[in-house]
Amino acid sequence: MTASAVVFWVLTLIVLASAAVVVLSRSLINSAFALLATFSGVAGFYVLLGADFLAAVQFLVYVGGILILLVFGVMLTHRIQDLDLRAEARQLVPGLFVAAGVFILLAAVATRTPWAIGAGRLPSATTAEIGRAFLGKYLLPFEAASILLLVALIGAALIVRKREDA
Amino acid sequence: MPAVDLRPLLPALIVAVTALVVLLAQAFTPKGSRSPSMGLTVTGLAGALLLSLTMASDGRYGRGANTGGSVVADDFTLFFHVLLIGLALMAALLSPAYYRENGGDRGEYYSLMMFSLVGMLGLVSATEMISMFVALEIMSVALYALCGTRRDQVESQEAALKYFVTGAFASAFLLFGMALLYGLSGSTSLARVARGVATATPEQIPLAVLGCGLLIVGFGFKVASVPFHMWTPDVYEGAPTTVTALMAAGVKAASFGAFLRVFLGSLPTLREEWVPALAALAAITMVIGNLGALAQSNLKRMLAFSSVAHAGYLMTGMVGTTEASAQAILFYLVAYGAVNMGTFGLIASLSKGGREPLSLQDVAGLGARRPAIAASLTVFLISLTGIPISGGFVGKFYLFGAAVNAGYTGLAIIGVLMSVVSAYYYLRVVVAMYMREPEGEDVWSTPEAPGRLAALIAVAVTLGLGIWPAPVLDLARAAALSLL
Repeated sequence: MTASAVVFWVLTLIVLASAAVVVLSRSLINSAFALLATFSGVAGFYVLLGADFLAAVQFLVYVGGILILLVFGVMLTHRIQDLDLRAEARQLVPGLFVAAGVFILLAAVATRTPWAIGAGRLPSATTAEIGRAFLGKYLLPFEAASILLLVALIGAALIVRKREDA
Repeated sequence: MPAVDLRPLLPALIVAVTALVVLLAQAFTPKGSRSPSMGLTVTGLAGALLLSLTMASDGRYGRGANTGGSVVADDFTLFFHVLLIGLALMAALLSPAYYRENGGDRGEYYSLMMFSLVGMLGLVSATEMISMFVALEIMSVALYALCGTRRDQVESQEAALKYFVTGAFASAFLLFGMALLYGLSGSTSLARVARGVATATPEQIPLAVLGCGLLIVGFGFKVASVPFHMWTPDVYEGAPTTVTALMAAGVKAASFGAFLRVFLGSLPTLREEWVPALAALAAITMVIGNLGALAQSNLKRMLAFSSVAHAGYLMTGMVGTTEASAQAILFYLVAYGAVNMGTFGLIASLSKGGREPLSLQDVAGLGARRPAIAASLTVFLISLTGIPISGGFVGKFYLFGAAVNAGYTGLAIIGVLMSVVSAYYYLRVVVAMYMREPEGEDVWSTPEAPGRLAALIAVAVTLGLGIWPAPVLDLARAAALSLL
């Protein structure tokens, strides 16, 4: 086994185990901290694949931003610790069958397909290329994403506003 | 860098700017004075509508132009632009009275409605998968929030949460499908995807088929087809009625627009693979949608199941994969949009003090008390059933015709049989309005002028399409030809 394969499997173990804790844990705060390991593991995947920019963004945005917000949200919310977050597992067996079926299908296709591989070699640093793509070919969706964020902001403000202040 | 042609984006830009203006105007309106939201919304939307019509009239005004290969203003796009902006305009006219009776006529509501429209406009005009996905999310996120705008009602909150969770789930499927097609073709542009799929080696075909399958699941959620329809009744029932109207009419049209552009426009070489799957989905959607509607006593839930059933009729048209099937779907979306906007709109404009007429007892005797409203509702229900002189009849005729021409006669027969079944639950409402004695006092509001105007437009479109369908059929044909 090569070194990168060892790293891959270690990362996979970290991501899967911590994701299981996120889903199965009864306490919100445990889930939030387990998410730290999941996000970091995914950042590790990006490093392994040579996607330096994505790895940095994954760390800055997800670990540094979203997770911290989440933890603050949990800690500042009154009596959130009393919530029992256990998700009821209904229709466990059919659910497992469907999930297993989809997994086998996706895995079989992913491993057997001869993927189209672009010409040239991987750039040593991806940031400049990603920046060019954002402000060139993909300018429109990049700009449209700001409308999406604005809509999410307005929607969130609308939902959390106090009742009847019209 | 070459100059970018922004003309295809103009209608959406006008709507987006109007949404911001409404939001700001709300902030600067003194307490107690009349809210300018509806007036501004209607003005902005009318401007966007006029612009779209102008663009459609001639190439000089941007017909056929595209913006950086991401968005195109072909006949297909412009057909949908006029339809979607028209529907949003009607929803805006219906809103002030509804929100006054049910609490919270605020600028944010109109603003989000218009942002949702921006998403719909982008969805039907995108020719590149990332733009299409971002547009879909803009449309959906705005609607998630809109569903929860009736803060006093737990059903409204439930609708928002359910729609959000299932919608996010569906978006993930769609994104996964897009990623697989990107992996196959090396490009997010639909034209390049089409070329990639057409030249795929036999070993790559499973990947393309899997991508198609995931896209069908994603679009299936958005258009509410069985087995991805579970959210529909609860969300349609819980959402404010004017929002439900926009969902039933606008979101369905926009989602079918993207569905058509991806499948008929870009994946026709795989039609042997996806047409049977679509036919099977169409069949169970028609059966389960109609049988589900039979069991409903709440009008909004009944119309939700009817919306599921209509997704089935529309997918029946799609199995043809020719321009005739695209034409039939486009025509039916106009007829269906007008009818839904009208039906939900009338329910909304009758609402008073937080109550709406939702049961057969509520509408009993409406024929005697409110002859104009009962007559309009009858027109809409006749069109939903598919009885002649209504747009629904002509639309179904072309949809089922497209299926028969494609060799799916059995599917068309299921469609016709299920339309007969649907007559029971649609006409039950008509019977209640005209043949049952009213119970108790007349507690409902009288629709105001804007609401009456919207209902009148819906009636005119429904009857117009039934009696003289040729102009819209020609436009739908031109739109279909620009797609294929």
